[in-house]
Amino acid sequence: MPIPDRDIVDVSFKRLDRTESLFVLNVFKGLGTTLRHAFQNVGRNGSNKDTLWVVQYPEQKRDDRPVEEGGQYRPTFRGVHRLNRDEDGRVRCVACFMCATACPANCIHIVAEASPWDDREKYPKQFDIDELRCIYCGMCEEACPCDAIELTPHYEVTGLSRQELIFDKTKLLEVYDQTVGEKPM
Amino acid sequence: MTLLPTLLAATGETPVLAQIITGVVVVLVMVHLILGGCAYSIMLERKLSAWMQDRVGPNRVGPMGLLQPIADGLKFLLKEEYAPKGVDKVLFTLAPTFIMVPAMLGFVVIPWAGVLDLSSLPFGLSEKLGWEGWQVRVIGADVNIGVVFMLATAALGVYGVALGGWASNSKFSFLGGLRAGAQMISYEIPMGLALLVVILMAGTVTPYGILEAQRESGWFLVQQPIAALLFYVCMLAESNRTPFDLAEAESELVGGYHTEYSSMRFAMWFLAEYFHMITGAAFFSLLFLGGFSVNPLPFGWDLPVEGGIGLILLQWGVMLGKVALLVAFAMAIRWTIPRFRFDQLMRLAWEGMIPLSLLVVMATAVSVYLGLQNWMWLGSIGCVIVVYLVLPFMPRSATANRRIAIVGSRFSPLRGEDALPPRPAVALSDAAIPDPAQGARSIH
Repeated sequence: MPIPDRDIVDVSFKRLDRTESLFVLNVFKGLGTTLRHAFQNVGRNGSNKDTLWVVQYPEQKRDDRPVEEGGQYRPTFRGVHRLNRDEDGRVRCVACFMCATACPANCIHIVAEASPWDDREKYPKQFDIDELRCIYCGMCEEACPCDAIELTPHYEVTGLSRQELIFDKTKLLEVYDQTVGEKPM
Repeated sequence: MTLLPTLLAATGETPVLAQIITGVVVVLVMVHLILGGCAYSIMLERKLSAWMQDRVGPNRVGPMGLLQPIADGLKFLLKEEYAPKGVDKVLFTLAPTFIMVPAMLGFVVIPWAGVLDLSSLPFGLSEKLGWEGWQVRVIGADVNIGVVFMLATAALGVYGVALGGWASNSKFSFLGGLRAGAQMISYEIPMGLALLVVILMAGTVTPYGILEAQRESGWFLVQQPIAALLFYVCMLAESNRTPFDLAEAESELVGGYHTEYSSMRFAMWFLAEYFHMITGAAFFSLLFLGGFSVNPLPFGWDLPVEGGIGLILLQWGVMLGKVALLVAFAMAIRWTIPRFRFDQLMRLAWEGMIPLSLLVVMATAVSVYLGLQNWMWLGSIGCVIVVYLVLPFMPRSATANRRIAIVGSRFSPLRGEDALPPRPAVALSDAAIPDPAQGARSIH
């Protein structure tokens, strides 16, 4: 059965006219576009705000820029984790395993133990986060019932080995001590 | 000794030996300059492409990234020279030199400056050596077959590509080599014809003869813009540059003829491409931009041909500037125009450029016969008008059937009245079929 004409669409290209089929003028038209961009960018090392405005990373950072111009929005940025302390300087974590359960990357490992304090039953004897496995989704932060685990705006997590980047409880509390000034709990 | 004076024609009373020494010096200087220039034109290309695409480009190695080519070269040197199983070892190793050498050979016949008066050498060198009053031409070898030699060496370049493609024992490389061969055969013809136009206009094939003719009649770019355009396009095709880089078409053939190459062998391919480009640019500026001339018109002041070392250096700078501009222009074209399809490439050569170059050759021949070669700029405009008039009557390529059935497709571009009513939904389960009239959408 032939396909009726109304079910057929013609996708032919536009026929080139005489000037277009000589190519030359259109080539120069195209060169105009590319060269315009080239002249806007030449010698500026990516600092032309109209075309490209590059963060030259180690020297410049996103933190230095206003948020409207592509800077980092620090209040909600999800960087390296920290374990918060309470007023007495003790770890706030009650080892409820909510974060470890919520974690989609399975990067949180907690070993719980009976708490030495009266106000809670358990506390984490061991609290490890594999910063290389972590996808920085922030689900642990949302799952935590007592605001013990939080993400900080720091994103430059570096180390010389994989082992070095598994942050234990001491390290995470250390991160808290360093960042509590700029991001209060 | 009868052969040497014709091969290396020295001027006037100057002994041939002085001309030979000059030639050797020029070749040594230029080869090294251009090998360095190749590395830096790779850098320039990366930067230019970045700017055109609103990127920054390499800017980390050294101030403004200027040491990047050296870092790249070091990296190439330190990489493993890997040859896959089943390659023809000898040809595989030779192929990159087969493309490199012809590109370098062409340089010999390029005049980099005019006639140098050896009396003007610094530190009183000419008096000590007894060279006073001698005049030499600043060229590798002032061969009397000049541009024919250049055409011959340019055509040799494709052997490297074809050999590399064959020796690699890889289908992608082989296809790349085949494509390069077919492309070269097609684009040699308009290139040769455009060159013929220049030879007709100049009445000679020696490089200095062509330069002299351009001082009298104005640059051949002015007199013969169509031939210049054809030659430039062919030059791009010969050096396998986009839009004619089907031989290495990375989106289709991985890397084309250099797919299997690594390390310094690959770097040779890469260098050869840029070397070819610089050779082509130098020939273009010799044939159409009057070499070291600065005045494109037949009248008015121009740099003198003969002079001391200062003038020669100035002429050399003018020539190098022209080459650099042409190379940058080729790069701008590369990052502007997408690659041709192979049939489009062939159509452009056989149905467009070859008839057009034949027309220009004919017009030039007639005007040279009538002694009107200085009016060829008018003749070129006439050629464009002829093309405009003839174009609608030229055979067109068969049109492909671009009528596509779109029965019930949700991608149908038909809108409104033409659109088909949605098909009734098919029941996938026992659940009630949603009624399109009530706002539910059919999944089909």
